[in-house]
Amino acid sequence: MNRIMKEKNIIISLLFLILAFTACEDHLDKQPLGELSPENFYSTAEGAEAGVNAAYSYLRHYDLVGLPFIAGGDIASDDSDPGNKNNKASIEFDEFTFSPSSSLMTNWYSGQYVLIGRANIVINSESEFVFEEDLQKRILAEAKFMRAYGYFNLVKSFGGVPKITVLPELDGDFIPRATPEEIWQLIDEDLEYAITYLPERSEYSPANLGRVTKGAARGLLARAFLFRNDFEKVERYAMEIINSNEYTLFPDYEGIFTYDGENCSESVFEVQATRSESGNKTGTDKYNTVQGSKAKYWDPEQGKFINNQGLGWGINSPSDDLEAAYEDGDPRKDATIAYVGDTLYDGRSIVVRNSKNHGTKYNQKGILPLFYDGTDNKVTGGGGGANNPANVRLIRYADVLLMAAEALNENDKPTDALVYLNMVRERARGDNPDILPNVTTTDKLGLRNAIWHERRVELAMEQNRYWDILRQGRAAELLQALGKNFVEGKHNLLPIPQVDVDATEGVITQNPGY
Amino acid sequence: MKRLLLIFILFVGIGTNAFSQNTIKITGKVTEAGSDFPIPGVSVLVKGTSTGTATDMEGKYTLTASANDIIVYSFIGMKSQEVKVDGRSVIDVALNPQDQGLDEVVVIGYGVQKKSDLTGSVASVKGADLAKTPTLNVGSSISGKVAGVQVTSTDGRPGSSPVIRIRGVGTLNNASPIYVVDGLIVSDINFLNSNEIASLEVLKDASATAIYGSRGANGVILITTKKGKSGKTRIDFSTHLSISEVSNTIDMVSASDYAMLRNESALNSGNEAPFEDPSIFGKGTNWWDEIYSTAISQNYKLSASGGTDNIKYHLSASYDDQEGIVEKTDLEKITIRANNEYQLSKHVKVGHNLSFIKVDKHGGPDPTRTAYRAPGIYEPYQEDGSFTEIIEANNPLVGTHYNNSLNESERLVGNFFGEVKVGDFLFRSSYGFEKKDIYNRSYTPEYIANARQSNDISKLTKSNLRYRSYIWDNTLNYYKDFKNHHFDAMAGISIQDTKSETLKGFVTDIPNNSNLWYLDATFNSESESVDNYATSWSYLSYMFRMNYSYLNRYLLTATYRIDGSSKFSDGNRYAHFPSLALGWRVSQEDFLIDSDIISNLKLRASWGIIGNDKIGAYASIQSLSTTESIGGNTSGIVAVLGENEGVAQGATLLKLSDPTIVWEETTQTDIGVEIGFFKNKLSAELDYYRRETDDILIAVPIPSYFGTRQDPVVNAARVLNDGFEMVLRWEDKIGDFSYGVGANLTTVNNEVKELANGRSFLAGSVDSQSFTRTMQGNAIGAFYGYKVDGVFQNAEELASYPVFGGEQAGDLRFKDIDGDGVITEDDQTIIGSPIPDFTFGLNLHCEYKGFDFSMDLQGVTGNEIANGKIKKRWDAGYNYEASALDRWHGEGTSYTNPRLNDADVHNEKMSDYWLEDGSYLRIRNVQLGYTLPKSISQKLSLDLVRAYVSATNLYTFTDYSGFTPDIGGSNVLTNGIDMGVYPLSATYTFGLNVTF
Repeated sequence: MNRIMKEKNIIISLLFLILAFTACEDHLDKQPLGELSPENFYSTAEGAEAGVNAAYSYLRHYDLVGLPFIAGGDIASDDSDPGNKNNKASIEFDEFTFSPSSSLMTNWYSGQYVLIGRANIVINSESEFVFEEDLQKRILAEAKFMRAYGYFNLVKSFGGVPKITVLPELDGDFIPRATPEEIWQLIDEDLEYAITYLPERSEYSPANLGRVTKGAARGLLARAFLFRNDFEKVERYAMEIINSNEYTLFPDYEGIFTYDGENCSESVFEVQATRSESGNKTGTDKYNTVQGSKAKYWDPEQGKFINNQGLGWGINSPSDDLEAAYEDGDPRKDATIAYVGDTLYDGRSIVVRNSKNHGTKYNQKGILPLFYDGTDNKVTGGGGGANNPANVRLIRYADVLLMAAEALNENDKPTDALVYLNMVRERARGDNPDILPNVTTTDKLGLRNAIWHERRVELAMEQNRYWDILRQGRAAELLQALGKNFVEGKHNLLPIPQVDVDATEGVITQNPGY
Repeated sequence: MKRLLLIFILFVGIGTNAFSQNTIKITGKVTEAGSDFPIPGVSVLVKGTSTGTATDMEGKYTLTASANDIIVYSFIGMKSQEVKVDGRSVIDVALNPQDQGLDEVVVIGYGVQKKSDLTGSVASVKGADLAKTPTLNVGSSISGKVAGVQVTSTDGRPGSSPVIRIRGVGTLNNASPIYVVDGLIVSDINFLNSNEIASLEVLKDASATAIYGSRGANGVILITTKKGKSGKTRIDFSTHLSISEVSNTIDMVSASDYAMLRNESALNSGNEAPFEDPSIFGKGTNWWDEIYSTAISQNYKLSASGGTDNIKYHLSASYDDQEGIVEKTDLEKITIRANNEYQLSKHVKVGHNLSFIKVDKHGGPDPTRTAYRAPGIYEPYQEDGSFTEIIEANNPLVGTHYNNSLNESERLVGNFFGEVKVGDFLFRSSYGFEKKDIYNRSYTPEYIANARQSNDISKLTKSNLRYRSYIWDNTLNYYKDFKNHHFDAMAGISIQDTKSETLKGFVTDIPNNSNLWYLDATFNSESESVDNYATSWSYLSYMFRMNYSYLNRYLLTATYRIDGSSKFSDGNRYAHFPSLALGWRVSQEDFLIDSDIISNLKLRASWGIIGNDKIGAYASIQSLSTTESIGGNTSGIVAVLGENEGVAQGATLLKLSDPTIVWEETTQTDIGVEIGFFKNKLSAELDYYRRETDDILIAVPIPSYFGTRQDPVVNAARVLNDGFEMVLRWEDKIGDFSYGVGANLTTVNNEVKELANGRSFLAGSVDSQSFTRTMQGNAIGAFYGYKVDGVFQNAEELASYPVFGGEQAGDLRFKDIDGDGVITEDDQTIIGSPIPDFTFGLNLHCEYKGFDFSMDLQGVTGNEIANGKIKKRWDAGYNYEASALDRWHGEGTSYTNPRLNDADVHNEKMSDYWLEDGSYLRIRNVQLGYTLPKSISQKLSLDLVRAYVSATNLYTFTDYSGFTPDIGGSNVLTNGIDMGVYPLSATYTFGLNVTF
């Protein structure tokens, strides 16, 4: 009996021992492994810079430079057709049959807010900053530029949208749409700040090439005012860029869109991308894949043409209407439209139709780097998926000159306008004096049409055209003439994604007509 | 020296036994009751001692015991018998086969219980029944055997594991049950072979599962592996050889029909017809024949078990070699197990259940989808032996040819335990562990297979997953019987710690030589990239259970578990899971106890709350990320900057976390009746269950303006599952012929009661269209789309019915659900459910003399399958199924199938046109065996010799047009969508079991 008592005591002591062991609370404290804690992360220069780098990273995302960007900028316009008969998403944009449930709408809308969110985190960490003030200002200015770029895309596409400048509370009330004016005001303020504190392009170290500049901020602000027909402001900011003497037109138009033309002398704002050999996706997410064709390329080792792999969806095919818009002999036509069978500028690649479902024309500005990689002179497939090597030219100096010309003409300074318009034509002319004569008219209407025409052919297939004809009030007229279903008063704005209307239980209202 | 000592101990031992008491030499014979057949190898032991022997070939034994000893006769598969010596010198014994009835002991969480005392709903399957289906996966062998359990396969690749659902789909998260092997909660049961299993129990109601608290909500599958029993060493050898082939393929059109249809489709959409003369193509290539072949599998298993009163052991080793019906999808598996127990003293027992598993797998690609798409107009190879370029779809043979992927996993699973028994108390401490190391290699050489399929630089990926889980369980049991009361209780503490870490590397430009397939051998060291990520989580749990019965008639079970989990933040960490159950054994009452008709009648009812925490480990903690998923791949969040296009690291917030989230809770009620007639020849069980899961954790879409790419996980849904389970069994014996029939049927009514403030979840997106919509008032993952009303035959009809705009004759006519005169997105509605109304199984067996036969059937009805593969035509040039010949191609040609169209945007909208009835009845397994008569086997010095042939997945009765109607998916929101996967194979097996 005693022995049993003793053993019972042993068991009981054992139990207490186990209780003491296991009642240890720390056992359940698990912090995420390999992930950073947000506490004070952005307070250091390194942290704040990482924060703004995350915004740059998103500029390459499919939402911002993939099909949503291309469909909205080109395919919806009179410049371009879907190209790939199987691609329903771009057919919807071509025919204006998209709806609030169209996936591209969600990409384009939500993508801007991701960019804005990444900018906001940095901007709202200002009070924690504990590093050199100049750098603080520069990083804040970069973040504000990114935020303004996101809101600019939103307001021109959707009108007034929820204005988010701090991360909302998860259990807070849903945030309704702000007015377009409130959004424009935020864009203006952010870009003014950016203009003040961003360095000029020449003031950055070579290692920082690609960060946004004073010139980029002015260019974006000029474009923002162009949308509101505020030509005084457009003139002011465009002229500031011109007078900064930071930029010149690149002599070879076709070369701008090659690997060598990246960050060339007329690059004002460009999404930086490169093909990466490693697992990191440092390219754009399908800017080139979406528009690519197949190619035959010359293999020097085998001494014959070889079919390259079938990268590319063949979407965004230059339209017949665009083809007809070029003046006789304008070399920009061949530099923009890649016809099946064309030998490309590298002299070694021939465009091949990838599929029977593709058109016969491809956007040369979008496909070229697919089979030309300047780094090792090796012809490659370009890296599919999110590894497209080409930078995306968002604001070129030629665009700035044409904005200046358009504003000067509207502000009744036609002779000044002609100077900038003809600079663009002169560059396109190259050393062939027989083409693209200087424009001489000073008639306001005539000159306006000449500038609009020049914008179209100079910036063709660079995802500008639809926004241009929309702000010019000509979308209905031009698109209906091509048999497209553009309805004035409805399609001037894209529909707010249905998922967002649903997610806010209707607090975010739909645009009229959808 | 050691040997001397051993002999000394033996001598002393024998001496004390031989001389200390008044002993008798006893002889006798042990036979099988009824047949009088002698049973060799029966353990004959003097109770309470280690003195014993075993019967010889004639079933005879000799033993020395004292006059008032008790002798215990035991043999596997027979009921043990205790006989008092009473001074006799000859004792003959007839052993009865073990009852499959009420005295059966079933395993429950942290203990065992007699089936008759159960108050909860627990289904038990014997290992021998599982082993009849020669499948590598234990999960798939319970298909159709247990009421309330639905097993669906994910694909037919060797080593793939099925999806198991117990009593419907109880959550929008991971709805799989948890697995407990020999008391240890493990991450899956892929490591087990069914012939290692002694029994498998499925815990279904709250009374049974609540002891697993936070993890029991989707049911618990308890597995007990084979253990040693005292007695003569028993050696079992078994082997089987299987031949598998694709069980069913899909009829595709001939090459010339393809060309004809393709032309028609092109012309319908205003394109030029691609083929001048379709007839020249003839029959063309049958791609199924190119990718599938007959596969051979083999299995060998050797085990030894036995022991004395002090040491019991079960050792086994097995080897499996399984080929897949697709090249480079084979698997090789070695399993070694040691389940031993050591009785150290009268009070103390220690032991271990250990198993080591090594699996080498070739994970070649599944060419099914490309083969489905590739038109028959192409030959697989060109004249020079190279792969033909297939413009429309890719050549299905290329991926496999250049694949060099290898997956090697090693696991060590088991526990060490110790038990101390003092008086009515039993204390048990068990330390369990699961170590898993998975090594993955994938190498793609540089190649140009054809103009379309090439790889311009060789690529090598290596990854290592290191998974460790430790569980320390401590329980104290108390048993007490006094007068008519029986009382037992268990209290315990369990702590668990789990960590999983992955290290992954990638390089390009590696020579095509397997000796060089290491990251350091790269010619392009700049391409190196490394990923390393980890998660860890832990639990701390307290549990308690009490069973009480009075007069063996009135039963009560109460359990309580408190669970703490690291997945929740500080204030919400702990949750409480109670359960209560009552049982009444009516047949024990005086008015029934002597009944000749009703031999068993039990009523039981249970209620309880159980939880589910299968969510990400850090859902409640906010953190920043430096990598994100882009197009399905993990990539650094980096800015590209500088003249040399360098990379600058970024960090940002990708997901908001809600620190206030709490556990999902399932409230389950169960009412059951068990009834047996005619000495349980006929038995039946009927249960009604109702499971309601509240606070379901789900990533609820938040407005885009948050700017985070992932949605936060919040408690936002409630789901109800209810239904009936019925089991009927008839077992009888007529002379030498015994037979049995078992049937089970389960009904499931699944309904989302609440979802994120009335939101609905679209999922199963294909080509930016969703197949399913999970919304309030409907089943989880219900199919959503338009209802088809017919096919527009002519312009007149186009003008008179509501349309989208843009339809042409030959297009599907959708129903105007909202009656507004036009077809819009608002006309979509729920058009079907992937969850069957009924799942059922039928099991037959009969034995006559040495022959045994068994057949298992299994099926479901009342569900739909979305035929995603036929709908998803990225390219208009994909091959057609033979059913495409029934398309509309002119007025009156079809009233159900639309015209073909290259640029179709209308007919391919999700509609019930793409849904098919998912009902089926499958002959899951048929087996015919023959056991050599003992008289012959004994001449061969063998105890038992049995040979059998069996066929698995022999035939499936179904109207579904795909490979198989058995379409599983682990994501509950996207179930029943057939995108065309590696099909199930029909397997024919020859096997042999020998016992020494």
